[in-house]
Amino acid sequence: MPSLSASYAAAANALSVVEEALEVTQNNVDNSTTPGYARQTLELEAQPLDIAGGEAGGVAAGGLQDSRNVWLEDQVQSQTSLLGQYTAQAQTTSSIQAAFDVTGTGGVSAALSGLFQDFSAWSETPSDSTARQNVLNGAQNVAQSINTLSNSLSQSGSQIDSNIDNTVTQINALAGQIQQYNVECLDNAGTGTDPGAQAQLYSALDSLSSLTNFSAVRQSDGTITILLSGGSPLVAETNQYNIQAVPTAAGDAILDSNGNDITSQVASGQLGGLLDVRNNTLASIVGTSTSQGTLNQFAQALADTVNGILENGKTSSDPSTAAAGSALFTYTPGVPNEVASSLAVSGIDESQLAPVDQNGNANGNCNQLAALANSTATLPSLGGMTLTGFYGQIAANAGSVNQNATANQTSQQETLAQVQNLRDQASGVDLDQEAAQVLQFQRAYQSVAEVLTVLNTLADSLLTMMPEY
Amino acid sequence: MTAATPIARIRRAREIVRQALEGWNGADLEGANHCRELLAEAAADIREAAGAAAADRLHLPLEARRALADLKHDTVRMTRLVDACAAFQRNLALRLGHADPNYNASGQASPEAVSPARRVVVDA
Repeated sequence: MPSLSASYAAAANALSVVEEALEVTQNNVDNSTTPGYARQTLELEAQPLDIAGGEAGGVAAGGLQDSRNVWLEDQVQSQTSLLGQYTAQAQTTSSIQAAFDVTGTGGVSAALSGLFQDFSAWSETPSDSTARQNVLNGAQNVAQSINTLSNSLSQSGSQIDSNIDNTVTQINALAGQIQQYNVECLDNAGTGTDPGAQAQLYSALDSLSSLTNFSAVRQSDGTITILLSGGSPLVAETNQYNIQAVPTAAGDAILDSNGNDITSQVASGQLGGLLDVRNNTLASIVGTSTSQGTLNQFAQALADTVNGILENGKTSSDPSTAAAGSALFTYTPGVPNEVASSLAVSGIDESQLAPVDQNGNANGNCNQLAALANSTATLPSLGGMTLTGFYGQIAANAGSVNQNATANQTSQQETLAQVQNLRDQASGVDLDQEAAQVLQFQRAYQSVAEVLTVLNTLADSLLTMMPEY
Repeated sequence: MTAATPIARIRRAREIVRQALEGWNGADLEGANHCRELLAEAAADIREAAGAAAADRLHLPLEARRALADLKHDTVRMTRLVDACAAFQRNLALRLGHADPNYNASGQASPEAVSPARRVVVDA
């Protein structure tokens, strides 16, 4: 039979355990806004009760139980990565879009329109020196506006390069924090269950997820291994593998610690978004050393077409004074991706402009040049589009990419909030209890999705009935 | 009582879809069912509007096209949210040891295919 003192001791111990549980609760309250912190509960363990054997029973404090579920956190982190990607895309494409003047009152489109008007005015008075000088001035405006646009886009590219470098630095710094956690984990077995250390670890993982996509695997020794989606490690046990950003012929590349190109493994997160804009969106406009880019394609088509017409003509209808026409534009030859930045008006004066076409028509060349403004003046070098149409498409694409990125960002913010709700609902709940509800949720979602499909189809049908205005 | 005009129905449907979108919470089962009812109401309105427009060869104004475009925009946003929630629950089902449901050609799960058999899932 347990002694009276043993019973007192059991009661005292129970009070102590309650006090410890209150401390855990207080700690939860104190850390309610600490990044990465998860609610802790104190496990209570019943002590043996054996009256005959003198065991007084009672309760003892067990270990701390973390309410965090690694899998649930992983779901949120993957959505956070997507939000990081869309946010980076929205911000960087915004600066690209801003480089284009879409009002038509300035920039390339206004300058091009002005040049076409100058050509048209010249066709009415082909010998007039003022009209000729206006053509030179108009060409100068076009060249400068294309140079300005090219420079603006180049600056956007430099800014993105800088952002990529900064993001890589942040990723390596966070990987360093996780590596340090692993070191502490191996040095001290309690680290794996210490709420403070866990909060720091998950805060680092959350931050990392907004920067890049990765998978985190907890090893049996408590350490965390961080792998990029293609399997390249960032952290394994006590080793950290730094990544680096380098410029390449095709854009920016990410290299692993062995110098292997792992750019394709960075699909989302801020880094994925920046790489996409730099290597795809911007590269498609300004080109790379292996591709010309649409802006250079446009600038070259403009220069080659105008030069081709003028060089085939003559400066005068009078055979005694007529000279062969000269090129109006120049650009650096042999560097396809630098046409826009190097485009300039050649050093000719107004007397060297050739209004007479090869058939001897006094204003034939002027008319041909003015006709470039027409919707029928399609150019094979622009894929069958006109100069104005092609440039408009470049500007429209830039706007469209930004619009999509912004819409994706807004939508992803909503999606992340939903997944956080679902995580919070399931977190701290016995997942076995949750199992009963999963099927109900799946059915509910499916029925909502079906109605959405019907609604979308009906809306499409109704839209097809409406005339375009 | 006067029957609602097609344009009024389109406007109403657009408001209902907006209401459903703003009220959507994937963690709330009752709320999800309520959203489905709202969307079904909106679908009925659009169906009525389409029927009336087709029968009377109505020339719907630009405003109706804009309202429909807004409605479609919100429908796409909501579809993405529902898809994200469905993906979460599908993964959770796998996590809890349920077999992945079979999906038909329309991408819809057949509930009876969800096996209650458990399997061991090791924490990553």
